[in-house]
Amino acid sequence: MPLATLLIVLVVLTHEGLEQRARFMRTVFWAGLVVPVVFYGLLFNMVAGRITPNLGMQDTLDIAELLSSRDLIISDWGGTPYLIPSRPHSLSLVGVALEAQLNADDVQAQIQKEIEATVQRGGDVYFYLLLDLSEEEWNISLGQRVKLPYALLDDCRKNATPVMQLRLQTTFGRPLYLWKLNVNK
Amino acid sequence: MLLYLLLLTQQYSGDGMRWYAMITGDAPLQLGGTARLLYPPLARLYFYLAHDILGLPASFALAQSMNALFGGAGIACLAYILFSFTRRWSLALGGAAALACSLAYSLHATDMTEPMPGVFLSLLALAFSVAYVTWTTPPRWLVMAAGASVGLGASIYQSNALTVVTVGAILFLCDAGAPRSRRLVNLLLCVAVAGAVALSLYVDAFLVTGSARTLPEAVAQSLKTEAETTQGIYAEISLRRVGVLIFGLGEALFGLRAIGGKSTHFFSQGLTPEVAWTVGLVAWSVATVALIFAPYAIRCAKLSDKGQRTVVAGLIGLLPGLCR
Repeated sequence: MPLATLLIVLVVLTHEGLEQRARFMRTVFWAGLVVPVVFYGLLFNMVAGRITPNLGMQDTLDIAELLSSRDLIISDWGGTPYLIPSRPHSLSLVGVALEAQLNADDVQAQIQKEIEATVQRGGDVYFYLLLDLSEEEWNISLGQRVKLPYALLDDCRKNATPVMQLRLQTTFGRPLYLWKLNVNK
Repeated sequence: MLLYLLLLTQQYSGDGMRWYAMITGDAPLQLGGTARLLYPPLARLYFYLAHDILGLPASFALAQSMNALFGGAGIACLAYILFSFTRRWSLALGGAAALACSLAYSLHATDMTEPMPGVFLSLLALAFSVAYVTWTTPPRWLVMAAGASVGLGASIYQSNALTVVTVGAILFLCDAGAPRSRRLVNLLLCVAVAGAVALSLYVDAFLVTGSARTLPEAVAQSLKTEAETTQGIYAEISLRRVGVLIFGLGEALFGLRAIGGKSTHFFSQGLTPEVAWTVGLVAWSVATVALIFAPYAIRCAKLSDKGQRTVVAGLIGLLPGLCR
């Protein structure tokens, strides 16, 4: 809505200016705003979005084949951003943090509880997106916003192994894996 | 609308996909939380009508098509608003095309994300208020319809409640021929209708679904903002925010791929071609807006009284959006 409101202001200014500075206003409005936005939007956003398959969706289908309904997948927002038809249990780190009022100790305890519950029902624990993040990448979202320290998952980092390389990459272009936690059953 | 239907995205935003099982009826229907209260029921209703009644095949594209329809209708509302203010079809269509192809709008109009139905209702509310201030003998139901649209929009996507500021500013400032008392009554009427519609939908939804057992409990839940439910993790006043505003214009118009999730850290890999392209698009966006304002700033052109009022109303309407 802010963009729509801004465009109303810009169009009214252009309209008023056309009476006094016709050529200038017409050039700025059409050559500066309308034509570039329409051209770029159509070509690089809409057409590109239409013809380019989503790598995250394909990753999700691969993950779905691997995981069973007894397993647990821990990620930033829970599950993967897409569909997992077999519906394993999922844990959203951000969701847990919000419920724990951003208290890292409570988040840690909740993660441990979920891991134990998964082991008890005979499932495996997987991490998606979290263990591949560098400290800098972690701090941009989970550190600064949700106040979770990078060290929160140190134990999991030590005891997990990558089981599948994904097509998606981290924000800074690092490879992304699905990690499996090694636990004694 | 047709363009959106032809170009439905394969990028599938995670924000939209999380509702898909509910939309198709594979998962039990729930409210969308305070921030997106009626989005899941609305999307489910659309899917039910399109698939179960009209017999269209179930697919991601079918779920996305609801936003394409709302997106197209929203663009029609904007074209009407721009034409009403300028009486020039070229400007109305040019401005509407710019919004239609901007990333901020087309991203939602070609996918199954939550904001689009509410954005349409917000633009509809603006269209009702603009009709009221531009028609020669406008009926007062236009003011109430504007309020009702804002209220309904807010119950689908909570932040659309902020549109009441723009609608109120238009009703109060742009209705130049009316006495101040009538403009004030219209403003209050619009705000009251918007509040009543939104609150009654929220309270009813919470009571009907059993999320709240008593009326006071339902009212308390209705007034909970997204900032409260997310512990304020998105609320932030900082220097970074200023950067977000400047880059936000380029992102909203074009989409800046070098920024994606990197925020202020996007210079960390140096001035790569992707970063240079991003900076160029931001500079282009800011320069274009500045150039449109320039003739008035350096007094080469003067605004008419009507133009002044419209621009001030628009700028007031921008304030809450920028402060979010």
